[in-house]
Amino acid sequence: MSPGSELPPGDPGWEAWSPGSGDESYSLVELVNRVLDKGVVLTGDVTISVAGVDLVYLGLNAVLTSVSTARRTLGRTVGRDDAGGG
Amino acid sequence: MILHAYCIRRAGEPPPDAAARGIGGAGVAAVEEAGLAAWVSALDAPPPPEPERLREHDRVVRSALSTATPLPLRYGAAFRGEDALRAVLRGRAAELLAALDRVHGRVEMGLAVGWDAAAARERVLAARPDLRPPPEKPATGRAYLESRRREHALDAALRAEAGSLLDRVSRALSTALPDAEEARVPIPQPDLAGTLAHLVLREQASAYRAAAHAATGAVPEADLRVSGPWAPYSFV
Repeated sequence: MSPGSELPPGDPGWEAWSPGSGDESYSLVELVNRVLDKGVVLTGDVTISVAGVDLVYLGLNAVLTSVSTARRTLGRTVGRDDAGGG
Repeated sequence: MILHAYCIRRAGEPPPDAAARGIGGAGVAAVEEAGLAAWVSALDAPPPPEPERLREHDRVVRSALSTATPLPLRYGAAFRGEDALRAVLRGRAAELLAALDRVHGRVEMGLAVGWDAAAARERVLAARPDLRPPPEKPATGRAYLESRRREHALDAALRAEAGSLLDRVSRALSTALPDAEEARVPIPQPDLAGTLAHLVLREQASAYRAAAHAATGAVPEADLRVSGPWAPYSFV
């Protein structure tokens, strides 16, 4: 499966290319590290739950790093709704 | 009921498609305030950071990217209602509009730099045999501390080796794309020296791939993989 096939075919402009044998897990790991670790931090008045994160489909190191960042970032928001996971 | 926010763009830019689906299949709407439009979904509860939810989040951000570059929001921004969201948009409007100006017409491209970590370790140890771990478990406190010191020094030497490889790839790319802003995305994968991200003009996405392909010739020990276009997660 190519990285692109993990995303809907209708995604405009999405392409992935690798000159080597490739490892499709890069796509998910890169996604996780962007969506959880990057982007504008817009502090809401409710936070995501970081308890019970499903680790099955993720590279363990990647998700631990990302969730650790999420805890640090989101744990400071006001009016937390997370289920004791922060 | 909460509002989960995906991204921000300018008010007046194309709104989410009526058929667009976000987290858990929820519809996506735009909340406009202070010249900004936040793309949101109404959900029963804040979504957990599960892989499929993260994909759904990014899918919405990508659909925005298809018509104009948005500011992608870090996953987890949720509001108890429109009033709370509008208040945040009003309070940060100047900053967010300036950020939109900065990424206008640009996309993020990613370049994962794979390497042979075991070979790199052997190279480091060949140059620094004093860092080789002792063959037996340390028997004394002093020996334990010494082994820890070696581990830390070896880790630092490996990070420097990875950084050097990233520098070489970066230089190879910058020849073709001298104006692209660069960021380094820390991705803790043992087979990755690291990942570079570049903010390039939309029309440079193909040139980026070509430049990455050329870089494989300049830095043959790097196994390069391009991803993107992404919304500019690493540049906001």
